[in-house]
Amino acid sequence: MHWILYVLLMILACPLRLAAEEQITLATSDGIPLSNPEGTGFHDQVVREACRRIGLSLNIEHLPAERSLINANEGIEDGVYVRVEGLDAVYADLRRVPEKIGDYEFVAFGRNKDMPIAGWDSLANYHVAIVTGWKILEKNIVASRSLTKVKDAGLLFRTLADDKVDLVVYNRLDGYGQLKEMKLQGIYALQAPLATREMFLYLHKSRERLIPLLSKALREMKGDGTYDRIKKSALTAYLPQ
Amino acid sequence: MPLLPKVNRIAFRLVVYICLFSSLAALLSTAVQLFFEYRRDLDQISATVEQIRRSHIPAIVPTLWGYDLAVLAMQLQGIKNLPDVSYAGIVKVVETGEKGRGRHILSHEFPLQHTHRGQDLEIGVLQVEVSLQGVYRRLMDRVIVILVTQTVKTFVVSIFIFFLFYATVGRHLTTMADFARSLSLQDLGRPLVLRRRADRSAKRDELGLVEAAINEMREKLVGEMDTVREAQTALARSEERFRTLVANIPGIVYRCETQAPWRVEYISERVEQVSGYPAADFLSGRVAFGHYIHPEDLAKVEATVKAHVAPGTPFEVEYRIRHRDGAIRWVFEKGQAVFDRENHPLWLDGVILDITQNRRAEERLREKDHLLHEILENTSDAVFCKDGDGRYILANSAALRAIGRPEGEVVGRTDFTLFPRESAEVIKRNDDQVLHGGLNVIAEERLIVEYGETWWHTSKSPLRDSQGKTIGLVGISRDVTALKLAEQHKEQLERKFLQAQKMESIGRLAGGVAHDFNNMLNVIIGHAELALEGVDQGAQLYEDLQEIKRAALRSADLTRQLLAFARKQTVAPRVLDLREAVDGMLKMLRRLIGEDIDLEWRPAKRPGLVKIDPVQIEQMLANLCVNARDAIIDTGKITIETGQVAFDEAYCAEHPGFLAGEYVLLAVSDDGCGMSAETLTNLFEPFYTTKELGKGTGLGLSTVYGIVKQNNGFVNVYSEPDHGTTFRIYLPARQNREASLPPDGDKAVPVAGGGECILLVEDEPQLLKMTKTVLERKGYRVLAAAGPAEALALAAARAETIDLLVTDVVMPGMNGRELAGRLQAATPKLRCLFMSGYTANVIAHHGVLDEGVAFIQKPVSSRDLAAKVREVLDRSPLTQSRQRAAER
Repeated sequence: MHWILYVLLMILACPLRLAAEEQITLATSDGIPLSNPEGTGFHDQVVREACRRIGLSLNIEHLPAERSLINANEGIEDGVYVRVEGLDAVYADLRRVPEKIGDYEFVAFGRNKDMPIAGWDSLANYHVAIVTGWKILEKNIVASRSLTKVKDAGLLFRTLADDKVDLVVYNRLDGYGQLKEMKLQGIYALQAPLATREMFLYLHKSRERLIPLLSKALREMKGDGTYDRIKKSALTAYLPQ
Repeated sequence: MPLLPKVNRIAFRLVVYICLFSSLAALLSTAVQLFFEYRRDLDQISATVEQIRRSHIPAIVPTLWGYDLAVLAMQLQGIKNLPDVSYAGIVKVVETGEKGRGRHILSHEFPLQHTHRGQDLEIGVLQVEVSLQGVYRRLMDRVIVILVTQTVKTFVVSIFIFFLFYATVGRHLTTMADFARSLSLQDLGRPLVLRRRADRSAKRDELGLVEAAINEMREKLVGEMDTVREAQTALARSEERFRTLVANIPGIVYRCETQAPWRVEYISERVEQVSGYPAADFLSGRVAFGHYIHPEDLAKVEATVKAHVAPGTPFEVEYRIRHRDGAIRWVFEKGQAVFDRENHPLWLDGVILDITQNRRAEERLREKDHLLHEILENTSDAVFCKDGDGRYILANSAALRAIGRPEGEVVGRTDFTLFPRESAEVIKRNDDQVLHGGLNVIAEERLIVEYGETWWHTSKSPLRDSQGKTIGLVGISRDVTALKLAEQHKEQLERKFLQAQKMESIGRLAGGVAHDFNNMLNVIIGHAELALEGVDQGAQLYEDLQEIKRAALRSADLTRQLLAFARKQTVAPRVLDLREAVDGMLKMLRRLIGEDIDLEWRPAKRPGLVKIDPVQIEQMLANLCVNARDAIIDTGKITIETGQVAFDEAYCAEHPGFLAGEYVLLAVSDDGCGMSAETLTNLFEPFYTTKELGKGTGLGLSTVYGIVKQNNGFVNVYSEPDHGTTFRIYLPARQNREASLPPDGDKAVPVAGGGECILLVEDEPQLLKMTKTVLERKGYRVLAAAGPAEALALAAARAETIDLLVTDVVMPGMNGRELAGRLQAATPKLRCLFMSGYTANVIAHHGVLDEGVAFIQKPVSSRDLAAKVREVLDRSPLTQSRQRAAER
């Protein structure tokens, strides 16, 4: 009789466990279309699905780029997405999930789609603006005629739209999203990308145990087409026609 | 007007003071002003900090949240640009300026908080440093400006004041100074006049008042001069009196501090005499009292002074000081603290006296006292002092020992409480001579103390006070008891010696007299007897001759007693039983004492052998019984007893004159009138008698005494007046009878001669003739020789016919013994009969005849002579040989 009672208790306990699903809060500085306040951006959906697959409920906090890193490193949030590889060397308490979320293509946006851009050195003749805190840009853009750092992408593209600079360097997808949000016309992403970086999810060391699970889930998403499906559904509206 | 040095001018000093005060005031006001400036700058800084808190931080927080470092840098630069802010930075994010540079930094930290997901997060800390260097620099700039302006202002004002003061006050003060300087008591007539405006206001200002006051003072001075002069004179006199008084005080007068080392305010000149340091040294402070007080006395002096300063009582202390020359002196100090109105001690006033001489005198006196005490206590003489009432006030140890009481029981008491009354009265008589007569008395005092009678040779002298009044006596007594006893013993010995000398003298006298006197008596008796033979017994002549003979015989007895008393009697002692000897004499003694007196005879139970001539026993008993008889008034009893006694050494030690041994006692007692002590003392004195004149010769008891001493005995007399007298004669006891010739007794002896030849030697011609006649009438042939030489000649011529030598003993040229010896040398069978009134130790030693010697005492009756001659002639040759041996 006892074992019958034990089994009953186990059965009753399972719904409770499911009901008390673990929540994870991740910071992100990504903008539309990669992330949005509703959490339906490309990266939002990918990360949410991966979390879901390992039984986590995702809470997204949109923060400035450096603040998101600082907060994740200090454990205020459980992690941050998406960031380039190697940040765990700077932020000691962050642990990178090896399976990338996506790629960042750093491209120059200009008002003239024919502007010849080929590598970092090709920026030497232009006045360039970037968003403060983008390390890869601050590191590589050293030979431009001038380099203006602005607070956010809105200011960035407003600077470009107002013709205060010749080029702005930004993530391609984010740039598309910003342009759409700002309803700016006549600004183009110049080929080819200045640099491409794989972008990853970082977790605070207290969540280190989740890294293999999330890696596995991401790989599975990429394998079963979930990843591509989300990408398509989330980005189609923002890509140039 | 003499020119004053610039620095001495009031105006100059006034300017200096104004400058100093102005500078000081400027400094103070500047300091106050700077202080408020400083406070204002600090308030400004506080306002800046508050501005940062309220305005800048709300802007910085969102920027920091967004981590817009460029904006942050601008915002921080905006903060740094605020006044005095030297640094602004967000910890570990961005900084502006150099942190912590400089010393005077005020650091402020502002936590930067941002609300995220409903929580306040501290996203950073804003650090702002405010430097005070700017504040200080501004203050310094203000100081310089203020000081420079103040200095210039002060200088200008001072110069103005200087000239103003000099013109209005200074020159007039100079005039007053000149006036005062020239003013003298002899020149008070000139008034002070200041050259000023001659208006009324000038007269009423301060200088005018001073001018008027000085002139008023001048006028008063003129009036007060006489009083001042009198006061000065009085003061001078007072000071002179004080100096004289102090100078005459034989010590140091001082006023000094109340605590060691007591530096002086005033000190008299005499301090130099006592300490060697001049008063100036003390007054200048170079020397203080405490410096020259002997280190061993300093603590005592300090304690004494301290103990009396607080209560304000006078103190006295003696201590030593070290003179400048190194000598130690004693001083006496008396002082007292002087207080102010609040009762705080100000000074010590006092005097110091040099008592070195007194101290030395005291030490000498103490040593003298000690010496006297030692003398008193170590002398064996008793030394004492008494007051006028005879009470002891001092007694040394010897005196206490003599009295036999401790000092506490002697001092304060008189002799009447210390000695028996008899002794005390003896002492008092001598004391009275000293106390009331003022005499020095030397006396011997006989005292009865606990241990018996003591004799003291005492010298007493009056004890006088400083006025010469007799207040007591001082006496020294020496115990002369032993000396006194020795003297008594000596006196006793001397008396005995004198007695012996007297005896000897009398003996010599008796001996000298006896020889010739006996010869004369012998002649008288002999001739009387010869005459009696030719006279009828009924004739008157016969009686007369008998009286002559009796008188001669009594004279012979007297002579014999003298000899006996002087122990010159020639005796022939032999050992006999005293009991038997006395018993044989009782009949004679009873006749002697008469019928009214009872004679009791108590013979000893055992024989009492003594060696004595029986004649002497008869002499002693006869004398003692006659004296006893005479002591009994009417009837009474005389008791004669014999006995044996033995005296040991202990008994003899307590009875002088007794010798240890066994003795035979012969005691004669009576119950007569007894004798007084004086009589007892002179009892055995020759010729001393208590009897009426003609009833006693005074030789009886001295004869007894002589006999006893001749026989080595001693006599003891006990007598009580009205109770009687007992004579006890002790003669040495003999153990055995000696073989001796039997006593002659009263038996009839043959007296007739048988024609024997007798050589008769006698230097007295009458006696020679009379004796020759007697012997020839008795039937002998007599060869008469008048001396030894003639006798020798006769013997030499007819030696073979001489049978007996009858010779005198004491003869000129040769004594009888020598004569006999020479004759017997030639004729050994020659018998000898010595005949003498006094033998002079020729044939006897101390009166005792040599053994075997035939002797007959002069005077001798015809019968006795004939009997003795017959006896010697009839004596055995053995006896004669012993006689000759003795003669050799």
